[in-house]
Amino acid sequence: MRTWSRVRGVLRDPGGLFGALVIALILIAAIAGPALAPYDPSAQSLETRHLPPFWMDGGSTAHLLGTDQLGRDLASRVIQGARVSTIVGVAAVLMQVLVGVTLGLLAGYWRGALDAVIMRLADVWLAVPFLVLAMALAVVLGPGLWSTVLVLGAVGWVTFARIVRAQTLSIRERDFVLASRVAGARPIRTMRAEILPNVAASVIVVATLQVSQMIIAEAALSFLGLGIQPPDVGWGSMIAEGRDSLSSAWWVAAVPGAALVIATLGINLFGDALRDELDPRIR
Amino acid sequence: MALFIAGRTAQGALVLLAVSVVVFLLSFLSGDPAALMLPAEATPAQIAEFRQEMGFDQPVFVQYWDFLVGALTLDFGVSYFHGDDALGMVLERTIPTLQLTLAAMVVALLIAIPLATVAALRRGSVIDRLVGAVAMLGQSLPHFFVGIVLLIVFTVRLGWLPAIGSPTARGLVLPALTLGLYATAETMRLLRSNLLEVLHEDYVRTARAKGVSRAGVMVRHAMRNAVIPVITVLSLQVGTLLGGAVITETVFSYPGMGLLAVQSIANRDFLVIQAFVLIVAAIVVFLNVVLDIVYGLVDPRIRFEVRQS
Repeated sequence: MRTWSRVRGVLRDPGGLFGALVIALILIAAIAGPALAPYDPSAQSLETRHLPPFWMDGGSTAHLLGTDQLGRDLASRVIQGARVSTIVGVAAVLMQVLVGVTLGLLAGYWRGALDAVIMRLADVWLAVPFLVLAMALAVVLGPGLWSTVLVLGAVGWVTFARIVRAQTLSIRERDFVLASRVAGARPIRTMRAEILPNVAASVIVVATLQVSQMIIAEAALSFLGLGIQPPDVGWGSMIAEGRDSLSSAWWVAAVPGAALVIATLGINLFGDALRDELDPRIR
Repeated sequence: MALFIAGRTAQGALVLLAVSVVVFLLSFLSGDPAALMLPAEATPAQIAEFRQEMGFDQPVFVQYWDFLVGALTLDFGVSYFHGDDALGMVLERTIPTLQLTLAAMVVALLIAIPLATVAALRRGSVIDRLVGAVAMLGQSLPHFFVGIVLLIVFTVRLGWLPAIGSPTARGLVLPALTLGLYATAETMRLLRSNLLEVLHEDYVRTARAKGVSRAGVMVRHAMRNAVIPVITVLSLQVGTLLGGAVITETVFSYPGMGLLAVQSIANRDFLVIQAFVLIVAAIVVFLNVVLDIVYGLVDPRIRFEVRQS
């Protein structure tokens, strides 16, 4: 029941509503993409190379958003790309949450030497910029959809570990945690049943915002040639392909770029509305 | 104070040492570092010879020791692809990257300071919400795409600026703008919330009660105290900017160390990538240590907190 009132709260916020619609669109495209796309996203056609979008001179409604250097339909490719963004965004953040929340709980609950080790590890991760570490790891693991997920998951756990540790440090001093311990609950149970539910709100909010960051990071890695490889279609690699024809056919890069901007903006607005609803304290 | 400086320096050195372990272990994740560093078409005999030459047949600890001694004596080995000293290649490109990063910081501050000030002074107003919306948009923009849009507008359409970036006034405009906009949203948000906090302090109310104008309070009292957190924000952004520089340099073919790293990936030149990661980490850690020491000098409370913990 509380869940429903919260969902309504998020949807009452204009940004939250817009975000929810964008997320719904991305999910539909990711799941039903092949059925929705007007063309096969990898079908090449030499006669229709570099057709502009329909509103420009020379454009046609047959290819609403135009075509790329190989005559492939950009609208179909953008729809196809939603799948990569969804998989990478969700899977990488799940991995980060799993690792980060576990380490954060352990560090904050046990403190002492374990805390010191985990936090020094976090310092090492923070000393190397996210994208630089992701790049180096991607070189080693090789490109591809799942190694990209692995790279982003392994690099981004620190955010969650730090948030959860900080909150655990204060929650563990509260009376209900003491009560649980006095009642004889084992540490694992105390962490799971008493502390975890109290950090969940922040974790959900940060995870939502992190999904958009990971979608951007995947696109950036793919733009550098380290992420998604053909035949998979991702927005970042589409932008990279469009870079070579900026002067003659700017839309080849601009169309997937716009898709990327709308997707991340929608997710961020949704995350912001969610934060107002779930966790007004953090800003 | 001397104790504080020594402690903070030692801490930074330890972090760097740990980074070197991670960077060293990276090459083992793939199973065979020799395969990572040689071109794909190398023959088994060449790989075996290379392995022996590089000491990959030695125990891991011996290898790490060699790597560490090399790193400390600034010898990262010779780039297999170019035949040059890997560290020298990266260091040569460090200055242009730092110039780009510095220019980007200036861009970010020039945009963020006035907007955040207006937003904080007129909290809750239309302007405040507009600034919030701009910050939200800024955080949602992938900056390599921003760079490409700038290229389309200012180079392809208008023809005002060169497509290739360089550390000259004209060549720096678009790359610095791209990277600067990347850091603007975050800087603006943090600056606004810090200003809001300061504006509620007692001394601000006292100054207002004494008849100092709003603008006067802002410049003489609030800004001064909000500047320290801004410097912290910027020191945190150094890492973000150096990471972002990799992409910016690639978009504009700007001759910095990020572009070198990206090119080295294509050439399977892993030694150069290792040197790049370590140098970036060294810059980030060094700046953080220096800034911490500066804070310790400016604000004794920070020194005290460290001693307590």
